[in-house]
Amino acid sequence: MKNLACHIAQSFVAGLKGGGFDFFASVPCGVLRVMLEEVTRHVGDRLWHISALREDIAIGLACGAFLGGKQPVVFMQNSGLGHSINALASLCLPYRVSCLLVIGCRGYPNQDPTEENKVMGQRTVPLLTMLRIPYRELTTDNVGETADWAADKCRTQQCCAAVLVSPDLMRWPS
Amino acid sequence: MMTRRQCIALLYEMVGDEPIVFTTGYTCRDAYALSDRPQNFYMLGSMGLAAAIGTGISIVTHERVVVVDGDGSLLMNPSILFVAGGLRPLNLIHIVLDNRQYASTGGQPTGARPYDFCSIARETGYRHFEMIQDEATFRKELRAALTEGEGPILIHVLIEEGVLPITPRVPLSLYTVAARLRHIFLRTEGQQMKVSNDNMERINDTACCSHY
Repeated sequence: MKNLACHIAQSFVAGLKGGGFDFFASVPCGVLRVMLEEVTRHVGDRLWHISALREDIAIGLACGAFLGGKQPVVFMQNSGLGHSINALASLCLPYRVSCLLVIGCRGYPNQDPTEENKVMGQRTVPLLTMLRIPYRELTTDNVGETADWAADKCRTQQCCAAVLVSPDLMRWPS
Repeated sequence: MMTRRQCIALLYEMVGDEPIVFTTGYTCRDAYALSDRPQNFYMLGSMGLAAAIGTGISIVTHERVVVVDGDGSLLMNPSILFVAGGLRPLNLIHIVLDNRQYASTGGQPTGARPYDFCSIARETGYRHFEMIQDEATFRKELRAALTEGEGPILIHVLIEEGVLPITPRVPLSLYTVAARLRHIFLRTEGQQMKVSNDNMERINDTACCSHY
């Protein structure tokens, strides 16, 4: 079962890299653990992975990378979306800095019953909708297509976009 | 003690083409009023993220980047000192203009006395750090920082508390501020920015920037 999560991670990260994403900033998330391990394998002279201490710092780093001519991705848990609202609303969106958010979703009903994550599990999609950030849920069947969609949104249309990753998809907790 | 404007004027005198990220509030306004350059990034919102933006630019371009931060904005998000210090060597000159207050919102104090940001910078890995007050020392520190290389470097400048006549808001669109800086680096890499009219409409539909 864990092999499927690794396969999804490998395909998705390869898809992002192929789509031109070259700067990754992250704050750890258990749901995204396998994916973050995969990103680290690709680090080189022209692909960066920086560990930030808070999600809004990750977005600030990503913004800097965008200004420097790169195409950034921020990996975070949905709990960190709360920390990120001002960075998205007053930096990325008005400056039109296009950044992909890959969001590990704690608190999804029937997948993660922890009380402290329940509210954000329900509110992640409404928050993105209110911010008018287009989003897609990653599944076993749409990995390549979602990476392509992300590249189209962020590189071609120069918008922010989000890919949601559920606990079940990554076999969390493994 | 110097004023904020004197500090920025001195910085302008001594920089070459380095990008400068200015923190929000009166710092941006003074910076624009004194001189505008395509390498100036006016961060008008997202208080606390100026140094993170500057760090990101420097990581991917390997260029020297200057950040003009404030005590209030650094205190809002001091974790960046740990992130930047941990990335050493990082070609970042992190200037903190410290007037012990939130000048842009009415002068509310940030603390009872200046905080020793240099001691945090020492702890987190900054290569060099100095707290200063006078122009001659600021000039000397800037000259060294702009010529000698390895950072990150923290220059903590205690500045006057009083609020001088307020300069007007930065009149540029935020898209312009970001695009013109990004264009410099894309052009350097032989790429072009492609933003057709179609793209602009779609961007306005999906983001809130139609308000601007």
